[in-house]
Amino acid sequence: MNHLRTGTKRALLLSAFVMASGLAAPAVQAEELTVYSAHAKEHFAELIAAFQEREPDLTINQILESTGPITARLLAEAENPRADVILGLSVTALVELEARDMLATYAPEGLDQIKPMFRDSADPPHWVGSDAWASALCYNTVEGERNGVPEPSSWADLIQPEYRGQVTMPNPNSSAAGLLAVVAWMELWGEDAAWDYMDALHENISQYVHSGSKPCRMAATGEAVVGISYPVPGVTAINEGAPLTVVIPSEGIGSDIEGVAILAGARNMDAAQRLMDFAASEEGAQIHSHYYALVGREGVSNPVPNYPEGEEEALIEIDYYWVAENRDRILAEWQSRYGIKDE
Amino acid sequence: MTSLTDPAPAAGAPRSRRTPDRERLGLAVLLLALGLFFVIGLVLPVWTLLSKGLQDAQGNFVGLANFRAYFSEPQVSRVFFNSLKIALGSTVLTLVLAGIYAFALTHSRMPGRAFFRAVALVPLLTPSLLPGIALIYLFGTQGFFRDLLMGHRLYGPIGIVIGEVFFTFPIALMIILTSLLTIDRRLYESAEALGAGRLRRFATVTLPAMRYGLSAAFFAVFTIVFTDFGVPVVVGGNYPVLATDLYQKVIGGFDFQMGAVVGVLLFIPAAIAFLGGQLLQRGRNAGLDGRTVVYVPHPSAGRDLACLAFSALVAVAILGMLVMAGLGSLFRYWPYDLSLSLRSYNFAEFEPAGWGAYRNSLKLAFGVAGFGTAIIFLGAWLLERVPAIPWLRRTINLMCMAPLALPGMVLGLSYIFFFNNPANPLEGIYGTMTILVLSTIVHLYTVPHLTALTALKQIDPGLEAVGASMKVPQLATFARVILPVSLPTVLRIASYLFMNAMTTISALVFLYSANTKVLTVSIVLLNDNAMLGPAAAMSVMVVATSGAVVGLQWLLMRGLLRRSQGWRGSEGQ
Repeated sequence: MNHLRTGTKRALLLSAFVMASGLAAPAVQAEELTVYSAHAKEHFAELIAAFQEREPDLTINQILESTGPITARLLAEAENPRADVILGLSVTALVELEARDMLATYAPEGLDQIKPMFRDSADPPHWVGSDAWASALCYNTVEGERNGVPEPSSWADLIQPEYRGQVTMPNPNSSAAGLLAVVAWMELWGEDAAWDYMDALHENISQYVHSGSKPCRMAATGEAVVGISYPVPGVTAINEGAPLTVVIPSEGIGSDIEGVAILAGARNMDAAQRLMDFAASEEGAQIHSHYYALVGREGVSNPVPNYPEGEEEALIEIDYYWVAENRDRILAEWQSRYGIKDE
Repeated sequence: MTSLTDPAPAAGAPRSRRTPDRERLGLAVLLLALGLFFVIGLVLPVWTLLSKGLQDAQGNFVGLANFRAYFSEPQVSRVFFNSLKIALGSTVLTLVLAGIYAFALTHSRMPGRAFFRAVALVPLLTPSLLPGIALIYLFGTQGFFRDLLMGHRLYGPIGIVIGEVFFTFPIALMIILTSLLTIDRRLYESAEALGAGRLRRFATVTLPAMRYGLSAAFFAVFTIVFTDFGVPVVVGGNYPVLATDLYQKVIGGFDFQMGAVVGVLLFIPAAIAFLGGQLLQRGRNAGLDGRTVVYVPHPSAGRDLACLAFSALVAVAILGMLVMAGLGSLFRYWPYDLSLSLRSYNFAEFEPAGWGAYRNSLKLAFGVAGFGTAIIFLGAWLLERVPAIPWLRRTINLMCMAPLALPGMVLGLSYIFFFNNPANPLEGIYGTMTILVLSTIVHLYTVPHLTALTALKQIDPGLEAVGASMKVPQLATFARVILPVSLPTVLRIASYLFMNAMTTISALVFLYSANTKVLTVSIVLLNDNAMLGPAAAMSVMVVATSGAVVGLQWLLMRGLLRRSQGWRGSEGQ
C-alpha cells in the first residue's frame, strides 16, 4: 500500500499550491503596452484595431473612460504610473498633467505635418493633437414630436419652458464635453451671465450623466429628447438608423482638442513612441477623419455622412490655459449648484 | 441557520503520546497559514481603510476632519437616508412576498410546488444589474409597459425597490422556508386535538416559527439592499444612495479620503444588522431535530387555489424579468428597430475588451471556485477537527464570520488602499487576476464556511481517534475518509462560489484593471454609456453560464448521492 510520509505529502501540497498560485499570474511575459484613453468608443476601437494589425506581437491593455475619471486615475497613479501612453485626452487635461511633469517629450514621425494649433509649443512636444471636436445638440425627432418639443436651433432655445425635463447634459466634473459647453457659455456671455443661463437650464435638465457621449445616446434611444454632447455619437446613431438630428447651436460652440502623450516613466517607452507615431501618421489621421471634420494633420479630410454642417464656422476661440487654471474653481461651483440632479 | 460561531473543542482525539509532534507542528503551521490568509486578505486592508479615513491626502493624521467635511456637505444626510429608506422599504416588501410564498410552498397542497421552488431561486443566478436592465425595457421611458407606472418615472426609488425585491427574493425565501420546515407536525395535531381553530393554529404554531425566519431574513436582506451597487447604478437615475455615491467619489474623482468616509458609513449599518442577526441566533437551537415529523397539510381547495394564483403571479414576474432581458439583448436598435438580431452579442463592437471580458469572468469564477473551495474546506476542517492552538482557532473562526458584515465595495476599496501602495511587498498583485480572486474569496467566505462546518460537525467525532489508534496521520484521515464523505458539500460549496463569482460586482468595480475586466464590470461601463442591448446580452451570458454550472453540479450531485451516499438513507439535498 502506497503511503506517503506526512512530511513528503505536506511538501507536495505546499508546492502544488505555490505552483497553482503562480499560474494565476501571466505565465508568458509578452511585450505589453498599457493605453489609457478618453476617445469616443468607436474611434478608439478603430485606432487600436489598426495599430494592433501593425503590431501583432504586442499585447495592448486598455482602459477607456470619460475625461474626468481617466484624468483622476492618472493623477492618483502619478507616483507609480501604470499606463505607458495616453491615446486621446482633452488638451485641458493634458495641460494639467504637463504642469505636474507627468509627461515625457517626444517628437513623433510626421510632426512637421501637424497643424500648429494641434501641438504643444515646446520642442520636442509633450503632446500632439489628433483631432478637434466641438459641442453639438442631439435631437430625437420622433420623441420631440410625441412630446411637443420643437427642434432647438440655439442655446437660448434650451431654456424655454417646452423643454422642461427633456434635456440631458454631461456633468463637467466627469466629461470634457460637459466642461466644453460650460466654458463656451462663459466665453460667449461672460461668467455671470453664463451662471444665470445654467440656472435656467437646470430647470429643464432631467439628469446629468457622467459620460460625454451618453446624452446623445439617450436621445437616440428616446430616453431624452435633447442631449448636449458632441457630434460623433450622434452621427454614429443616425447612421445606425436612429431618428436623430445633430444641431449646431447658432450662437457658437466651443472646441476642444484631443491629443496623444507619453507618460514620464512609462514601462514600455518604445511601443508607446510607436503608438504616438501611428496616431500622428497619415493612416492615423485618416481614421480620425472618419469621426471628426477637423484633424491634426495637414491635407486630410473625409466627409462623414450625416455630419452636421457648419461646425467649423461656428467655432469660438477657447483659451485652454485659462480653462486649466480656473477649472477646479468652476467645477466646484457647478457641483454645489447643480450636483443634486447628478446621476 | 445554526449557531456555529464557536468551534467544537478538539473533537475526540486525546493527546496521546503516540501523536507525532511533527504532525502536530505541521497542522499548526497550516492553521497559522490560514490565519495569515485572513490577516492579509481581511484585517490589514480594513485597518488601512479605517486609518485612511482619519488621514488627509498627504497622509497626516487629521482625526475626524474628513467625517466633519463630509457631513457639512449639503446633500450628505440625504444620501444616507435615501439608502435607509430604500433598504427598509424593499426589505419589508420582500419579506411579505417571500413569507406568503414560503407559506404556499409548505402549508398548501397546490400542484407544481417543486417547480415554484426552483423558479424562486432563479434570481440567484443573475447579477444584480440584470433586474435593472430588464426593468428599463419593461417600465423605462420607452418601456413596453411604462403606462403601468401611471406617470411615475422608473428611474429612482421605484426602480431600485422593484429591482432589489427581485434580487433578494430567493434569499429571504430560503431563510423563511427553513424555519417553516422545522415545524413539527405533531404540534398542529396537538393543537387540533385541543380544539384550536385554523386561525388559532396559525397564530400559535405557524407564526412563531415564521417569526424567527422573518427576523433572520430581515437582517440578511436589509444588509444586502443597503450595500447593493448593481441595481441603483442602472435604475437609480438621479436618486443617490451610498453605494453609488461611493463609486462616484472613488472612480469619478479618485477622492480616496471621502471614499474612505463613505465606506465606513456603508459598513456601520451592515455590521449592526449582522450583529443583530447573530444575537438572534444565539438563543436558538440548531436546525432540524432528527425526530421532527414534517408537516403535511390537510387538503383545502380554496386555500390551494389562492396559493397557486399568488405563486403563479410571482413566478411569472421572476421569469418575465429574465425573458425581457433576453429579448432585449436581441433587438437590433431598441426602441426604434425591434427586429431580432445577434448584433448585441458582438461585444468587441461596444467594448474594447470584447469577449475577453467573458474569458476573464470564467477565469475569475473557476479560480474562486477552485482555490476558494480548497481553502474554505481545509480551513473548516482545521478549525473544527484539529486539536491545535485553541485561541488561534477561536480567533480565526471569528474572522471567518466577518466577511458577511463587510460590504463588497468597502472590501474592494480597502484593497486599493492596502495593495496599491509601493511600500507593500505584495503590491505586485494589484491590477492582476490574483487580487480579484483573493478579494472575491474573502468576500464570499462566510456562507460556504458555515456550510462546511455544518457538514463536518455531522461526521462522527471518533473518526480521528480511530485514525490515531491506527497510526494514520490526520491529513490522511482527511483525504481518505472525510473528504469523500463530504463530497456533496464540497460540490455545493464549489458551485455556490462559482455562481457568486460570476455575478458579483461590488468589490470588482474598484479593482479591475485594463486587462482584467470581467463581464459584470463591462455591464456597468456599457450602462454608463446607454448601450442597453450589449449590457443585456452580457447579463444573459452571465445567467447562462451560472445556470449551466449549477445545473451540472445538480446532475453530478444526483449521480453521486445515488451511488455513494445511499447508506445515509434519504438525506435532504
